[in-house]
Amino acid sequence: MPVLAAGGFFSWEWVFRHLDDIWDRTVEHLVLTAIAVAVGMAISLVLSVIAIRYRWTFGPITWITGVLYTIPSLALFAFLVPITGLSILTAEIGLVSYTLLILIRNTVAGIDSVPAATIESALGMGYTRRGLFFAVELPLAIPVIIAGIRIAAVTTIGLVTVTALIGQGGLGFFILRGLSLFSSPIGTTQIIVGTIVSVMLAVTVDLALVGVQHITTPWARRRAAA
Amino acid sequence: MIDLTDLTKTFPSAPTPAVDHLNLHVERGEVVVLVGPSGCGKTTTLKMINRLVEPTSGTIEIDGRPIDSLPVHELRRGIGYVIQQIGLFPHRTIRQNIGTVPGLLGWDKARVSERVDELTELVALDPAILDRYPSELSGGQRQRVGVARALAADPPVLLMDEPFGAVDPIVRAHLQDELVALQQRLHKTIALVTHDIDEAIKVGDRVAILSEGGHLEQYGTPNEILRDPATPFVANFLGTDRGIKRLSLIPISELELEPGPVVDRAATREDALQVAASYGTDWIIVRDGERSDGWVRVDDVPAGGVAHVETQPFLTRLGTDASLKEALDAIVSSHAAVAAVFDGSRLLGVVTSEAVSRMILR
Repeated sequence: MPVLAAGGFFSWEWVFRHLDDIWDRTVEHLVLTAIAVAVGMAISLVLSVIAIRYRWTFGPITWITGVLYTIPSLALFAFLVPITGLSILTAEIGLVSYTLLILIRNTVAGIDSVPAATIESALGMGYTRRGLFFAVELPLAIPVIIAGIRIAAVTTIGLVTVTALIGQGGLGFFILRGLSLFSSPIGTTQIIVGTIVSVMLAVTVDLALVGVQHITTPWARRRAAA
Repeated sequence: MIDLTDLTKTFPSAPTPAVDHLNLHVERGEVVVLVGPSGCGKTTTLKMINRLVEPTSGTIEIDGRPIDSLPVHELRRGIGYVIQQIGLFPHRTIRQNIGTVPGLLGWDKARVSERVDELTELVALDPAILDRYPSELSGGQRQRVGVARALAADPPVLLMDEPFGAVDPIVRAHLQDELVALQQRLHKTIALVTHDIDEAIKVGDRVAILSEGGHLEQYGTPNEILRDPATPFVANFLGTDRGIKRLSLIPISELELEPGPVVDRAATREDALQVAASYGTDWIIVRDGERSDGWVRVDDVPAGGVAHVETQPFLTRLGTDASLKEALDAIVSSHAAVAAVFDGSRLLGVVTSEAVSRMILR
């Protein structure tokens, strides 16, 4: 049932026949993204703690992650494939390295934004440095950290489509295959499906993260209601 | 209770010491106020007591124990700390904020909760705010929460750094009164930093006046300092109205009251004129048994005597616990130029401006 009977470019019939396939690729896309953001967040947290504790390291850390951020993804994969193969590892190394700059910057900015008076009173009451970090600084940095995770997640969802080139790729698979069948309605249909579902995924994940922030920071919502 | 010995702090970036060989002894249960202009090292001194600042040299002992004889976080859990910006945790409810130190000390939940309720009552907070967040409170409420939080684990020592600096003058005066009242019940050893000499005089049992570079200019009771400033710096810092400031420290009960030109209802016009003349006034106080109705001009007393005159009430009726400052205020704002002192409805006597200045010069 093409949109345009003859010479149409979108086939609903293809979509209905491949719903399972689309679902599987969407899940795969989400998993690739989740791994990348989770691993990226773990690495960023460690690097952020180092950058905060030893201030001089902040410059070099952002410089290196900044360089990683600017490497074109295709070039990075081309460089990695001879080493790590057409594997999920190759895909994730690329994806993770693109999240680091945003996540580190936001984590450090979030912790820096904790008011000096709050820290002074916490130390004055007998918090240890470690206690201060986990009980006070990190919770207060959550809004800014989640803002970083939102950008990182949306960016990663876009980038995952590129990993189709190395045999991973989730929804990118449809786009890549669609490109090879470009002149036919089945080709354009796949490109459109891959793109639209990817965009919908990005919007959904972004909204979900807004929800997470809403739930984890009830204090940030209540302003001078009294 | 707290002993500072030869305490010196030189910050790496500064050419001169912030605090220079300071010696200070704080008695158990007294409020000592460190006061001075900015840059006098008062906050630095306070922060050395809970080791937020480490001294360059010298020692601090609390209860005879050097403060570095136990881990720093344990020291701090035993010292209440209140700062100007209060520093409540924005992400925790008021209940959680107040329960911070008991939580760090590992008290069980029921005990913490009980203690929070106790403190809420102690600092006169509305229990309804316990489940709110700090951003939802007024400045005065936050300040009370800050004090409750500092008192939570019942520390014997309290450090307060400009605790009333961030609230408006009306709330500030109120909170100062509350601190004085609270201290009468709790008998904590308190070191309080302020730049406001009036606050120092109001809340301090003793006042340490510091000048730039942490030099102790004078250490004594507010009355001693106001009566006898040790250095020109102190005199200048106290300002030109230190006589008036001292008045607020002396209660009327320390004065010997004058009876004033009092006549009974039975008195004749001649009696009234004579009493007024003997006091050099043109008015008399009319007494009816033990109580006094008020005052009247002698010119208005009719030939028939005092029996049926209409008296004017005293605008201000002071009790014996009022200060001489209040008495002076009553004197300058009354027609009769005296302040009438009452015990309930019984007139005890009057205070004149001469009596007040005699007291100040003593």
